[in-house]
Amino acid sequence: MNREQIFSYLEERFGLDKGLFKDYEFLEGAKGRVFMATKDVSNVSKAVKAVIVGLLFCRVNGSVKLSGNITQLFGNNATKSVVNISELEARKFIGGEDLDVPDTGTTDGYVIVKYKNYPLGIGLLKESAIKNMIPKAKRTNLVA
Amino acid sequence: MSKAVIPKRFLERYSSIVDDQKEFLEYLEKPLPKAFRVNTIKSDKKQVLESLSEKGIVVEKVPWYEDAFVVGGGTSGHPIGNTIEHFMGYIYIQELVSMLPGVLASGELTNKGLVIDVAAAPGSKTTHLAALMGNKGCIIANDISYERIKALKFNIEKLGVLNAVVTNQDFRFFKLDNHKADFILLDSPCTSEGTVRKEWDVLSEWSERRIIGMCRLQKQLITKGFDMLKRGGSMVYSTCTFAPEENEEVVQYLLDNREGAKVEKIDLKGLKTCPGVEKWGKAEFSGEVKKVCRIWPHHNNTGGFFLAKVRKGVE
Ligand SMILES: C[S@@+](CC[C@H](N)C(=O)[O-])C[C@H]1O[C@@H](n2cnc3c(N)ncnc32)[C@H](O)[C@@H]1O
Repeated sequence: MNREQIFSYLEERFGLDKGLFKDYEFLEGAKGRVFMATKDVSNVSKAVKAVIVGLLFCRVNGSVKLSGNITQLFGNNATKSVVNISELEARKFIGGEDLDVPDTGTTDGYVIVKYKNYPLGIGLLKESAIKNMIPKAKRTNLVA
Repeated sequence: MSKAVIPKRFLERYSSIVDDQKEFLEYLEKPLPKAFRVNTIKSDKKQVLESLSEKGIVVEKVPWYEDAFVVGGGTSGHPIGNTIEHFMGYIYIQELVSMLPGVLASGELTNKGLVIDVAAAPGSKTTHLAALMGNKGCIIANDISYERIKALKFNIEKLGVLNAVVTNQDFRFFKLDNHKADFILLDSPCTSEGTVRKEWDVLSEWSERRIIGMCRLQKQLITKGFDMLKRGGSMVYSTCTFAPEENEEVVQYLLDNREGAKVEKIDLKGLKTCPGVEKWGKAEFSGEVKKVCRIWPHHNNTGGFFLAKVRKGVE
């Protein structure tokens, strides 16, 4: 999948306009990973021995999985495939649990899981359930 | 857990340069206030503060920095790390003095320059610099320790930093042409004496031999950093330690060995600071070195810190 195909998918699935990403460079990493960085970072990374360049943008593996951190950064711009959840569900989701969501009105596939104004992350919607994809190190038991 | 004793030699050493030994000691044993920085890359400060206040968390402003807050009132025990704001990377828990290098840098940063963070892990200051640059331009975030780079990576990701490239090198031998960087932060490895309020254990490893060893490394790092600066560019050298060998002596070394180096005055309104020490043992430091800035724990109820701002002359 090339860059244009990734952007069209994001546009189609989430209504994320590719203009959001126009000032950045996208670099290919191992195992279908694509990284997003400023143009300056991309240029400088060629002159040094870089171990990480920018931020993981997505993973391409048949489908496109937007990274959780990019979802948090740009998720509020999405207009489609957004599942709004309650406070109780948000607690569960942030704690690492899967969610049962009877009618989201969204077709199966990746969805942006959102609570109030917080785009919490990406989840995989399948048969009325959202599979949790928050990495263990980031899961949190909310207090208050 | 029993606390290590404060080494006698440690107290002897600093009695001549600290204004109030009793207060100093008292504060060393007190826990630190819990502070955080609002991550402006991902969040709107007003909304963050409103949301925390709805949860009943009382936050107090910090007079010298608008994005810094202290958890206070009766809620200082609140586990602020377990809030949705923290999960989202909207706030970053960070000791107040650790925000000072960013505060000093802020006037120097633009959204296109090249910044080098010499010793960056776990990234408290890298992520701060990134926010101050509006997530634009480029920061080379370097650290010698691969283990610690994992934490740096985690924080860069969580805070949404798009303007950093991470390298894993001994900075003394860093491969990049000289005269490239607009700004350099050398938040140096040090003996960390000033962090005892967070980590009492630093005292059990304390020795003057370690100080001497660090001093040697710091001198190499500061000259290397200075050489990589563009003319007109600036560098902040910071440590979290009291030892003049690791502070004033290092700055003096740079002045003695690099002609173009100038120390700049540091002006931090709302924070009590002390000038650099003039003498230490047999060493006497030049008047320039006095322009550096010492922060003692008992003056502002923080950790101990040291800051110097150096500029590379234009000619
Ligand atoms: C005070 S800590 C840096 C804290 C960091 N700036 C922050 O704000 O999160 C010092 C760091 O220097 C690194 N270090 C030690 N020697 C180094 C060297 N020769 N080159 C680069 N980094 C070094 C250590 O691994 C350590 O992470």
